[in-house]
Amino acid sequence: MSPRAESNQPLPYTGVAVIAPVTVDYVRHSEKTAAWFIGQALAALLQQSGLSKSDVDGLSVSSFTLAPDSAVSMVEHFGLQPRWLEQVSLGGASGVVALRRAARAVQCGDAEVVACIGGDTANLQSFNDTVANFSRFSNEAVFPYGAAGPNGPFSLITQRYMDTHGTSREDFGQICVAQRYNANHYPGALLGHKTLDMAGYLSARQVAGPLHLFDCVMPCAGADGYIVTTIERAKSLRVPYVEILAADERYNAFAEDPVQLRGGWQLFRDTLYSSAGVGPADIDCLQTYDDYPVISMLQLEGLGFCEPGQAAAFVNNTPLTFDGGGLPHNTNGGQLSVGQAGCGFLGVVETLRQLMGLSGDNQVSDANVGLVSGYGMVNYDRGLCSVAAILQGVRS
Amino acid sequence: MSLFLQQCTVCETVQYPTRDVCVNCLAGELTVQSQSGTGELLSISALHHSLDHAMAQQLPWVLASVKLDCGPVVLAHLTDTAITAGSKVEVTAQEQANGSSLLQARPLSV
Repeated sequence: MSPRAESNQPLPYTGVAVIAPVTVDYVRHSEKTAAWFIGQALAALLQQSGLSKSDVDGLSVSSFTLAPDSAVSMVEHFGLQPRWLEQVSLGGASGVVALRRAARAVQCGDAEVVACIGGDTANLQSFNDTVANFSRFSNEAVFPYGAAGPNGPFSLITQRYMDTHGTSREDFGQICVAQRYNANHYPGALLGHKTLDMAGYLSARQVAGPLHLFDCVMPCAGADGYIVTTIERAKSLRVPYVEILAADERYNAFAEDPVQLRGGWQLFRDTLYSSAGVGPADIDCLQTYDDYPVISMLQLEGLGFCEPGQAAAFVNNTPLTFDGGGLPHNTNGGQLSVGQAGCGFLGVVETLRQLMGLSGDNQVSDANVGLVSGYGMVNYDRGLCSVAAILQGVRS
Repeated sequence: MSLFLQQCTVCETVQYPTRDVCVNCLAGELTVQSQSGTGELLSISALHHSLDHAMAQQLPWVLASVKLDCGPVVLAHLTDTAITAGSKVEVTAQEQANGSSLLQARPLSV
């Protein structure tokens, strides 16, 4: 391959295959550790792929609840001897970033079989501990102001977005209700056994400003993972695989904006689509990082599915259900209906399943090209990470 | 009344939250200077849930974000809630029972 990309255009991800989407069942609370969930995910990756532990020569780990341990601790914990190791601590952007890092390693021959896992435990104390000591800026300038966790800053962002664009709670409700419908068709969703209609969404108890119960994710325990390898290896394993058409990331975009009404996706989306050779209209399924519905709107806007400020009109006019014939969005329910564990791997794994045709009742028909977007790390008052990847399934 | 905020000795950028270097020029020498606490109210949110036991007794606890005229965006407690986003406010640091100080925003009396 050429040693330098054309200016502003990253090299393609030629020759890379993503295989073996796995999930360790989400549970609301667990006495098990993050290492247990991550280790179980590793075991599932081996079972799903047919590989043995000694075949794994690269490992990427993401977790909020692994401390004081880290990726290198897991190498000894799990009995691995890799030649490539990564810890991606980027919150909800981790799933996409781990994919990007592992893909480049495989392309360059630094590793051939990279297990990428995001996992967390959850108990009554773990969330409070994470929130009360999240970052220096949060400790000084956010947590003392109400001790509301991320609901504080995101209620301010949501209200400002509503004030600026005239968006209503009903508009956010379209996202949440459609996701719950998707979750009703996905056994792994912690809220999938309950239906949600607009009346139920609107009447739920208030949490912070415009945020009510069903605008907020449920932190939980669980893990998700996938393996990045070469196309040759994937074919020899005779497993379905997905290729990466494009991926990119930006941090601290538009830092001068007083309130975060846009993320960094618009800074790279033109290159993302041109590298992939597709446009928004070609996306068969979209997974946005839904810590709050307003952030899904920012992703819809930033990734070019609608104009800035127009996400409300878009979600009112476009079916978002997996079977609605519009734009299938967060097709297993997203974090809002499935639960939040494992640092933004949910959307990547759901994309892989959809494109491989491995989804169950929530399968999007003819899903060939998927876009997964990540966001996260509210170091102070806004999420600093904006990432996205466009993937394509390979049907035999 | 004024607000004491970090300021760079080299480029005079005012920054918040506090940093160890200047957010603008990366200079390592910073001072604390008296700034005007006036600014514009950006957004308001009444919190109905708190992880802090003491604050949970005071719900709803009104949170605001303010763009200070001297530069930074701050989160503050809003005690006078008869005010809308876009209004002019003044932010001051109020000492709390535990010795820490908390930023409060109130409508700017003209």
